[in-house]
Amino acid sequence: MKRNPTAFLKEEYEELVRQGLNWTLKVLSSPSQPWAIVDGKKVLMMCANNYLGLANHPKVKQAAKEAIDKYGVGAGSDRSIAGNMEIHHELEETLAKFKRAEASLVFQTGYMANEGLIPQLAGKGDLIVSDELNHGSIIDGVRLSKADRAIYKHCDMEDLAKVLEEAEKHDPPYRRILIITDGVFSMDGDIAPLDQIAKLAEEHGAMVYVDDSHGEGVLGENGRGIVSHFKLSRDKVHVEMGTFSKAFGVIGGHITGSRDLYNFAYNKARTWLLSAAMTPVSAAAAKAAIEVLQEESWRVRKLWENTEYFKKAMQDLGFNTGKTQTPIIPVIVGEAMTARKLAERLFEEGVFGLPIFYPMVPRGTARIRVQMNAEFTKEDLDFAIEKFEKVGKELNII
Amino acid sequence: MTSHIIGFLINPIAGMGGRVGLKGTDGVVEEAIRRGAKPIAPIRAESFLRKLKELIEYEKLEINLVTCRLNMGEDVVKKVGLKASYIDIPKSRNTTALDTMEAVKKFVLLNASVIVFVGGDGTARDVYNALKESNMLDIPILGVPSGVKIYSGVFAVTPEDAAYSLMEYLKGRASTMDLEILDIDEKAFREDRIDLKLYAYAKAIYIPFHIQSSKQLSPDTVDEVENQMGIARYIVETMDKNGIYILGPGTTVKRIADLLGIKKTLLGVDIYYKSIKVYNDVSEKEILNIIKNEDNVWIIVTPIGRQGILFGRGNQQISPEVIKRVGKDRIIVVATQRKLRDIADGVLRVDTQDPEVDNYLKGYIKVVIDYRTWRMVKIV
Repeated sequence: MKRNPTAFLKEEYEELVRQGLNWTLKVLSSPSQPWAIVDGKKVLMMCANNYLGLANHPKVKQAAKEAIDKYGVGAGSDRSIAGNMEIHHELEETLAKFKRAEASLVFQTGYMANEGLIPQLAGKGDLIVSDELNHGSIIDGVRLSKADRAIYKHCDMEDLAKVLEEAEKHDPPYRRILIITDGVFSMDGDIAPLDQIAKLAEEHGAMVYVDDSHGEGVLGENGRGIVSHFKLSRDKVHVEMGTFSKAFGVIGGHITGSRDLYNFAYNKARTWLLSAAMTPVSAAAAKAAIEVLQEESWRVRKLWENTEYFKKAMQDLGFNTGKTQTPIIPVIVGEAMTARKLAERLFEEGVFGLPIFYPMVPRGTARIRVQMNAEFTKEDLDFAIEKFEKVGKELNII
Repeated sequence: MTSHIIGFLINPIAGMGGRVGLKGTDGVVEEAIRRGAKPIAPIRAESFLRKLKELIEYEKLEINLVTCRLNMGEDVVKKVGLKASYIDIPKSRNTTALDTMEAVKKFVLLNASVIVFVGGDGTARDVYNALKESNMLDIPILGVPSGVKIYSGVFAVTPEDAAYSLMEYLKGRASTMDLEILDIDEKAFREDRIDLKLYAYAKAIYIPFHIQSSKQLSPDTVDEVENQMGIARYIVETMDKNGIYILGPGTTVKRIADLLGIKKTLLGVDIYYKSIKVYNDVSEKEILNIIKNEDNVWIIVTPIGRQGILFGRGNQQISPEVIKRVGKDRIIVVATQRKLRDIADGVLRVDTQDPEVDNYLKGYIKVVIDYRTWRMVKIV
């Protein structure tokens, strides 16, 4: 057989383009901030994960600059070999203290935390129980495991209870059961009922793992996250996974919990062991971001004020904002074509929101996903609301 | 893009019996009309065509619609304002199954690349038979549901969904797979007896199952055959070599037999006996005979059709008596993710004709949906 080694690259890309599933990349030529320059145009940034506005915070930037002077730009190696720097440990201690946990282990990204740790926590003879709408990084982590998998209906505790009951019937009995859920689900902005999950888990001796990427810096006492939000103890939620790339505005991931978890994870997670350390610049910036969050506690409050203000205004205008409980506010418009058009027109009017449609969300629930920012002023929000109203009427959505 | 020729027909009397308590219109059209039945098919056809029109206008797609005259297409197509060409069928408004079959054959001669029909299970059966007689079973079909009782898998869930599916197919985003056509004896049905058989598998349009995942901003597609293979591998790995396995009908269960290297009928019930023997196409009596005095007996079954019926449709050989003998804990349910998604309300149904057994089966049951992957699904 005569092979063309690379023909598929073009073919498959073109197929994606034909199906309208390819990404067209927009280019930022400014920091990610409320008013950013996107594709050469100044627009209100309403689809960034930078909830607290820390991505361009002077103190965070200053810490990064100082770290470059002290450590250089790269760690030079994996942490397991020769790339383990003081600043990594300082970040871990700062975070663990903030989270009121025994220990935190830092990964290069959140994706690598999920992909590296999950397959180590459950293997052959075990069961992983996963919410049907969990993030792709969880799905990929689960795929790497040799454990059985059970999927439960999104946030449906009756369904989860049935799965756990059924799991007890397995012969031979499952050695370990690991329940994994997103904390905040980013398409709808709803929150996992972690208190009920923890209760069910306890009845079955199951481990609880929560990916709190979108809840960190947002939920709980001064942004401590979902475990704090539900006032749960660390022996009820065993793994709290999170990222530094969302509310903290930098990059990186972490797992937080017991010292045992820490020791286990850094000796077992292959993504941690076989990849170079997070850069000292990122570590220093992430550490500074946690500190700024605590010093400037108005940021979390303002984020929620902005969320309530915007959400109410949108609802008053007649927009459907779904079942959101967080600063992720979906503006559900129905058809994919409507969502696309709405996003296009809003961008022309100076508002940058992300259109999302099938297969990312069910048919007929296409939407613009709006993400709030603590640094939006009332004027910014009024601007956005006015544009949504204008374009929404233009397209007969409201 | 090459312009597809779409053959489109309406069975105008499909679904008329329902509201007047006739359960289907086979042979009782006049009685239905006398009881005041109003045609449903034109309304369903209109919903389908309106959505289709909206989608083709948005996608700026040229389509080549070929349809029938009068109430079998023309009336509604013109009302909606779609361009079409016409075949000279039917001759009068009193249409019969023969008109459906003649129309399909005409579409085939006109090189239709897909046949869309508005109707019920009976219409699906007629469309299938016409294609079979034309020796053109490779042409995919798509059902717009309008019947009183629709069990066959070749139907979309709603008329609007059918329009989406067709559009995806025309744009090269959908593919085809073998889906069930079930055949009900309407005379028995009206007498409250259900006699439903798996009639055939027809090539039908289906949209690949995209995993819908929060935050995962790229679609992750599950291939139906790969999904069935994953299920089969898991079942085979966990099978008991000394067990007796009653294998229900359907492509998912057949995949397990294929992997075991044993012969299995697609439409019938077969038994895989202690890894040494296979009994093909067994009746209830034969099953009961084979499992007499045995206690390591299992049933492997997949829900049939878009109504998600687990027992009582197309697999009546696995009778209430058999189910009682085997026990609920030894029923292994398998279903692909697409199949579960397509089942109305996402619940399974049982209708064994024995209320006691139906009640016994109700509640949650474990369903294997992929390799080493399962979920709990409610049986109502």
